[in-house]
Formats: sequence, C-alpha cells, structure tokens
Amino acid sequence: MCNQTVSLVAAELERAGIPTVTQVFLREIAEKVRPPRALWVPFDHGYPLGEPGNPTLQTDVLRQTFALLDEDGPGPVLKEFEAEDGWW
Amino acid sequence: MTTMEKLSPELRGFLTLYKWVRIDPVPWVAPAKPLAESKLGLVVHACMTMPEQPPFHAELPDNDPSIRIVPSDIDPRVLVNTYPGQGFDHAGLQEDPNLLIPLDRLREMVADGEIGELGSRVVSLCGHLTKPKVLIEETAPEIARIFVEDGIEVALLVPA
Repeated sequence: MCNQTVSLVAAELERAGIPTVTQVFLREIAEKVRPPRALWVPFDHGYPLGEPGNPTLQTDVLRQTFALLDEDGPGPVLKEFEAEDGWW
Repeated sequence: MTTMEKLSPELRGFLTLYKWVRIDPVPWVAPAKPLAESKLGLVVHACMTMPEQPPFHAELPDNDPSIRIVPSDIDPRVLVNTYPGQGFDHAGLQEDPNLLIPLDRLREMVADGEIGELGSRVVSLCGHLTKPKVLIEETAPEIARIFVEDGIEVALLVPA
C-alpha cells in the first residue's frame, strides 16, 4: 500500500512542476498504479535501500533511483535495480 | 525480493482484489537542471516523527493521512517510530534508519557533489491509506505546496 501512497504524492508533485523518483517493491502494483519514475527494487518491504549498515548498497540504490531522471518521457518509467554480484 | 507469490494468501488476495488508483494520465516534468545543481526534497513513509511531535494514528479505521515535518539536518537516529505495527519488518529500520530515511546517504551525496543541496523540510507519512481520498485531495497538495515554497527542484519518495 505504501507504493500507492508515495506514487500518488509523486503524481501531485509532478503536477506542481517537480520531477520525482521513487522505489517500488511489487512490480505488479507499480504497473497498476503507474508512478511517473520508479525503480523496482529486489528487497522486502521495510528494506527499500537494501540492507541496514550497508551504506555502499544504499547509495547504489539511490544512484540508480536518481538515474531515472535521465530517462525521456512520457511516463511511466519503471526500471529494475541492477545488482552487482554478491549484494545478497 | 518481494513477489506476489511470496506473500501470505490473505495479503495476496487483498492486493489482488483491492481497487488500486491508476494514475492516468501520468504527469511528467523533465528536470530543469542536473541533480548536482538541484535542491532535493525527501518524502518518507515510515511513520517516523520527531520526539516532540504527536504520534501518527495509523491504527484508525481510515488510517492517518497527516504528515510530520522533519528537519533535514538531523541525525535520523533521533526519530521515533510511532507505529511499529505497520505491516513491514521493522528490524532493519531499528538497526539503521537510513534504510528508510536516508539522510546520511543523501548528505554524503551532497558533499560529493552528486546532489546540489537538500531542502530543509523532510515530509514524513504513515500507514496503509487504503482509502486515499484525503491523501489525494488534501495531503498530497499540501506536500506540493511545501516543496514549491521551499524551492524543491527534484523529489525522492521512499516507500516502506
């Protein structure tokens, strides 16, 4: 449900002129709700940036999330997180 | 990885039958300048408040579509999880709040020149919000007003 909540806020921010990025946990839900730019992350709910105490992975997730800003519109843009070997 | 197949039959059934809000048309704004020159706004969805703020009440039948404003220059470890019953594993959040409120990571990216600056006000949300009418009509426009007022140029929204 959190994916719908942040997606609806993202849509309102875009309508106000602010580009947005977010993460999603369930691809099926993202395809139904359609946030403007979303990174599908391979983690469980409660772990959107990967692992506690793993700043390298957290920063990698953030960088891949922000990379969605380079995508051309129109949305929705939904990309999958590309993991390096050994993340989990 | 979270997949529908991994969820409990009850939750999978709910998520399958729930009438999701379809964003249509999908609004789209291209960034006006690179992230390295932009002011970033952060929205988090982990029911976190400052210690002196009133707690969220996500246990209410209609959930709690209110927001709390958190300063972006705080240590995220001072934040209080006001709804530990929210439906996700809280162990990671308790061990490292940057998992859901990545202020340390974002400040590092500012210091490294990857992000221009952080907006001063972080918006904290809570709850399942299965009835999103108030969220759509009141809460989201309020967040947009705050971010426009703060001169936010790009927004990151972190789910829970």
